[in-house]
Amino acid sequence: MSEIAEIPAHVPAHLVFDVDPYNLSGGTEDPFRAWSSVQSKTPDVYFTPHFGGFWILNRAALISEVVADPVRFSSEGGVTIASAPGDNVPPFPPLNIDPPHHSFFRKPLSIALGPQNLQKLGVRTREIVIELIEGFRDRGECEFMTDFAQHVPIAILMEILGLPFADSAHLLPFADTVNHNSDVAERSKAVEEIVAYADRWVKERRTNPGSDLISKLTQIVVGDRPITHDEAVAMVTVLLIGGMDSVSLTMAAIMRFLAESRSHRERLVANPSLIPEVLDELLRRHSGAATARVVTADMELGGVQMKAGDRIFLTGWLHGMDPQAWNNPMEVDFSNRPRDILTFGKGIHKCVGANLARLEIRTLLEEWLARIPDFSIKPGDSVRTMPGQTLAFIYLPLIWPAPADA
Amino acid sequence: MPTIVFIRHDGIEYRARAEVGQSVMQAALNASVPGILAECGGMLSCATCHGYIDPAWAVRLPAPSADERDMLQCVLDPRDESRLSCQLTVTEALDGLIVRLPKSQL
Repeated sequence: MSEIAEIPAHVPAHLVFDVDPYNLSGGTEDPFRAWSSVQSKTPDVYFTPHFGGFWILNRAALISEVVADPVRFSSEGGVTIASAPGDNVPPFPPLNIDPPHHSFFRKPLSIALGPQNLQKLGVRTREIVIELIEGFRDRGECEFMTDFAQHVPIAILMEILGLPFADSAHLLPFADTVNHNSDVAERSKAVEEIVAYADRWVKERRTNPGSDLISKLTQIVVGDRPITHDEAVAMVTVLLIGGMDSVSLTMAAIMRFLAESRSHRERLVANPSLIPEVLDELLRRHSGAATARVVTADMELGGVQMKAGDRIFLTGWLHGMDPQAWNNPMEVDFSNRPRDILTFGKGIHKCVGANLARLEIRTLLEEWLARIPDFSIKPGDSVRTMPGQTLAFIYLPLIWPAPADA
Repeated sequence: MPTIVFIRHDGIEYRARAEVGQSVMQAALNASVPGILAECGGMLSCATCHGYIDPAWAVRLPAPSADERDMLQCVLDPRDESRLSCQLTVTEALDGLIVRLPKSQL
């Protein structure tokens, strides 16, 4: 349950709204529409008393301004809205590290996910995507999360980290718990298991270094001192936890949309070269990840007085659905070529895996639509989502015409 | 207002009016020059604002920082003339700068 805060003195009563990101009306069916409805009924900047109390921004321009400004808005107080009361926020470099140290942690990740490595990862991505789709194609149905979406990002992550692919079976249940279990104690246990796994491998790579990413992480120099063991373990942990679910939920949101929109689907089937062109429009409408910042000094934002220590929730989805920033934002328009989408954030903390995510999603669409051009949500069954810090998908049942007797 | 000349891999030229003080990358984006991705927005984090600086011009540019050199390691089709355009600042003296674009940033 969320800790309901007393309203701080500087927050005017008319800006307080009972909005719980983990309990939104309609949030378990379609969290994007659920949030769009809240967006239309709340001011540009407002306060919710849940999870210790924090601000929510409805305007794309404000979200963009805050997320890219590490001086006025720090990441070191944590980048989520839901900590259990009394939770410590340990450093998870580079995620919740500010300048000047942020860049020392960030650089090896930028290089590992840079254009040259992406080429190789693209080949492996396509292999895995094709193998998975071919595995259920003849069945005429699948549950998209467990049959597909969960398997792709972790496989690529293991490749990037230089870890044995076989270990993903061990890690998946823990990652699933961390990202989808509402029980705080269960989540903590699962995080510990992932940390323990990361710890073993950091020790191994320190003892027997290679050219892999974990070895490189152990060799990071932070300013004038070497990276600590705990920092290296935290870096591997944040990649394993953070780098997976966000891709899966984005794939699911886009596939749900295409399952429900024959006209959009048919255009992509008829012209697959359109896929990379419309990807950002699809991402704009289906941005399921969010971050948070803590105000560093008393200031005014969007006409509202904020105090140092105030927490602000910054969501990709409110940015992408803001009617003041986009025409008909709830519609996907394939003639839009949106620049400055905030699906991956902005500034020094912009998602280091953004191009990898695009690659994985594009590959999914190319290979799926070539094999299964006509699909829909299974009749009589329903999509289940779990909004919170992210707009996670739990269950997406898809069906399509199975081939005649093989 | 200085002009930067971007030459695409297929030879097509784009002349971008640039503002003194902005990056060459920003000049390309503002002029909608295709072929510069600039995914990270100039944070030296993505290596997708990659361009080849004509040798006649290269000597007139400040040398790359250690951080830029590190990121240049991961561009596609690296050459001696490779630079990251987010690190090049437009000045009046760079009027007419020629930047050749790689076949692809990704």
